[in-house]
Amino acid sequence: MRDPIAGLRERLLRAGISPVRVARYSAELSEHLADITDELIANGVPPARAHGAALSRLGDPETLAAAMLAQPRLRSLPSRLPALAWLALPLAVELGVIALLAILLVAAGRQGLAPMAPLIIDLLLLLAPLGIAWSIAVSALRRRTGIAWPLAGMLTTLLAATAFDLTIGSDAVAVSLSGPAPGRLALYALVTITPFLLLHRYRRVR
Amino acid sequence: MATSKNPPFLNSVPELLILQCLKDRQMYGYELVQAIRSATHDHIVLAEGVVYPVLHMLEREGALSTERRTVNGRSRIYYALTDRGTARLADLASVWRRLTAAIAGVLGEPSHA
Repeated sequence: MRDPIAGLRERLLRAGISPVRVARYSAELSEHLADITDELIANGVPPARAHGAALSRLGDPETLAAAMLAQPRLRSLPSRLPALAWLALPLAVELGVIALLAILLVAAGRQGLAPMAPLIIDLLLLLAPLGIAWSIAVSALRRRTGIAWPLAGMLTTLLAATAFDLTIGSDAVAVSLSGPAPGRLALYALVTITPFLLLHRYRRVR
Repeated sequence: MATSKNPPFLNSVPELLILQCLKDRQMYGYELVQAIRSATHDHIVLAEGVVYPVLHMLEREGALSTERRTVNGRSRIYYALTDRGTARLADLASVWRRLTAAIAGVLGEPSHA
């Protein structure tokens, strides 16, 4: 018999309830189901019938889903404010990383720190957008989110990452907007957006 | 006291019962449902799982606090009333008493033959 709580979990995720809340609700329902089953068996109901009777007392999946969805404030932030969660927040993180690394570069230059510092910062600049784009992808897959908002967020982050240049001089660091670098953008897209699209499709087919 | 609008009072029944049952001691979901059944002499029987979204909402609003414990190998989330929950219970109980008194008044009116 198909596990009704597993079906409920998928339905709630797709409706925009956060994975953490869905996991907690499912765990509480599973424990509750076990408690009712134990109670029925203790009262003489044959174990073969007890599970079905317990499921009936717990409520059918439609009722259990409707009860959660009737509480709009229990929906996750990405579900309530997708533009903020998928676009604005990742973009702010990417711009924040660029600003922070520029400040670190200036500080490193002034204090005559290790000559490797600019190289390390360059590497971080290269990796940060990948990390952010992958975080968007993983979060979207966990949340069973549709494709549009996460894709827009990933593209925006990658565009921002490839549009800014940090120029390192002997005693100053300049941040300039040079427009997206097509080669770098394509490479970023290849290692983030392509696997996301494939995994998203795989999950839908499955 | 006249109010311009009453809250959707039937929607607040599970909330009222939950807060009232948690007034004296903390409980986990299954225990709470049994307490509601017992307190209402089985007149109010909910699909038992629907109690959790209400508990989550009350927790989110600060009316309940939670504590996770493992009892006999099972993980339980115990819910307890907070000060805000106590105030909310008093408000809901007051609204409910006014409404039931009003309805009782209507039902108690002699019929005109």
